[in-house]
Amino acid sequence: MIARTTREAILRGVGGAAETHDAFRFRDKHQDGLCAIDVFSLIDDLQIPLEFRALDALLGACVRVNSAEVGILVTTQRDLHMQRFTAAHELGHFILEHEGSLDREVRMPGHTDGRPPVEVEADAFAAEFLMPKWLLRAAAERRGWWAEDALKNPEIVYQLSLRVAASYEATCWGLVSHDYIEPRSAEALIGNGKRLKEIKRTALRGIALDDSWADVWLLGQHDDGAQLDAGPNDVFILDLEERAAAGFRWDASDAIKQGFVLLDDTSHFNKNVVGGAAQRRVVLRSPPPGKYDLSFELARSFARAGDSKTLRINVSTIGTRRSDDGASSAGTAGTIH
Amino acid sequence: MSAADRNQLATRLREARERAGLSQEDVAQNLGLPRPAISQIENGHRRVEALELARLAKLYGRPLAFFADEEPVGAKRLDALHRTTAELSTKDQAEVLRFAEFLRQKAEKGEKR
Repeated sequence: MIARTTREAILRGVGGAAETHDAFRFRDKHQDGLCAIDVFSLIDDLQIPLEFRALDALLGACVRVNSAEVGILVTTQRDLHMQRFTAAHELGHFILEHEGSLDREVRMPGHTDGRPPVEVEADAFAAEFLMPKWLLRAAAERRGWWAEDALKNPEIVYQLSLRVAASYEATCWGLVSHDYIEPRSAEALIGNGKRLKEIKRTALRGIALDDSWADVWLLGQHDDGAQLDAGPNDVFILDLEERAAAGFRWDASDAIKQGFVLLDDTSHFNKNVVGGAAQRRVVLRSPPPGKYDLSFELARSFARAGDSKTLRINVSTIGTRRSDDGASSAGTAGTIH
Repeated sequence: MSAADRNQLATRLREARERAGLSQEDVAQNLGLPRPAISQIENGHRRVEALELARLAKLYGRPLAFFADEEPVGAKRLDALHRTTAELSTKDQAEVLRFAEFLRQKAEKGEKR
């Protein structure tokens, strides 16, 4: 069935995504806001063959071989967020029962001009599937970002985009489509093309970023239990409170043992308060692609039982298959994501 | 989907469920559907959506292709695929056609099961 108008197409795509969330009880599973929607696992779960290939201009394809079966192809030449959106778009073609599709372009809702209705449907499916209202809210709430001011702050929205594993721009438009912010706020957040670079530079506070595509994660105790989908050269900045004067220090040796590279480690004391809290800042870079269960412990060197506190974070860098030969030779100028 | 195709799919779904040793109630519970919906599906009185079919196939331990109502990559479909891939670069065209061939072989095996 092909929807007649853009509005119908968007509703059909959003409806398909909501049905899929229901079918797999995603709303319950994600109520803690600790991890992004795992589109690749769901495709696998549905027994749909999924392949990542070094494609030229195609972002992805949904190849239908008969009435029941399709396969999904996704380029390796784009970053994880674009690969996730493309995979979700192709999954949309399957769930919405479209004939196959070769996609050189995927778009966020609100950018539908000139798109065939089935593509509008698949775009709307992908946007809703990866970034439903309840997931954005749960991810923001648990980290104390659920406030009007916070959602207009580029640094915070960037961190939120990393938690839901979507691009910064897609997250800005996602907040608009769920009526959390006004379109003009999204435009201000997105700003000119250099905005993302500025946000990362602010977060890095002087530390160099070798790969301009890498993301900069600001992690805190609010990320305890989180599962993060990260890129190959991403930088993780742990900002943690500790009472060094009372002997309490966060221990990052577990991450370093697992291959994370220590880029910086500093403590900032409030000189006016003797024995007061200090802010510890540990900066780490991703190890080779893999899955890592990290645990950071806050303990005294002369520990007594029950004194310690643990921060656990699971980091996966295997979802990123962007090749090492640079950003991309792929893409259409009009691609919006 | 024609009425004949729907009936054929309905029969296959019933057989696959029975082979898997599941009751309609089990299936309804697993999919979160009312039990009469499963009975309607197996009588050909209710359309099966793509997502439902994928979940049923998984539950019954069958590949999706088992429930297809046509040959994998029929001549018409293959022609259309060749036509649409013609606009792509040589590399992309080769990748898509290779993937289609891989899927075709996989589907063929699945149908024979």
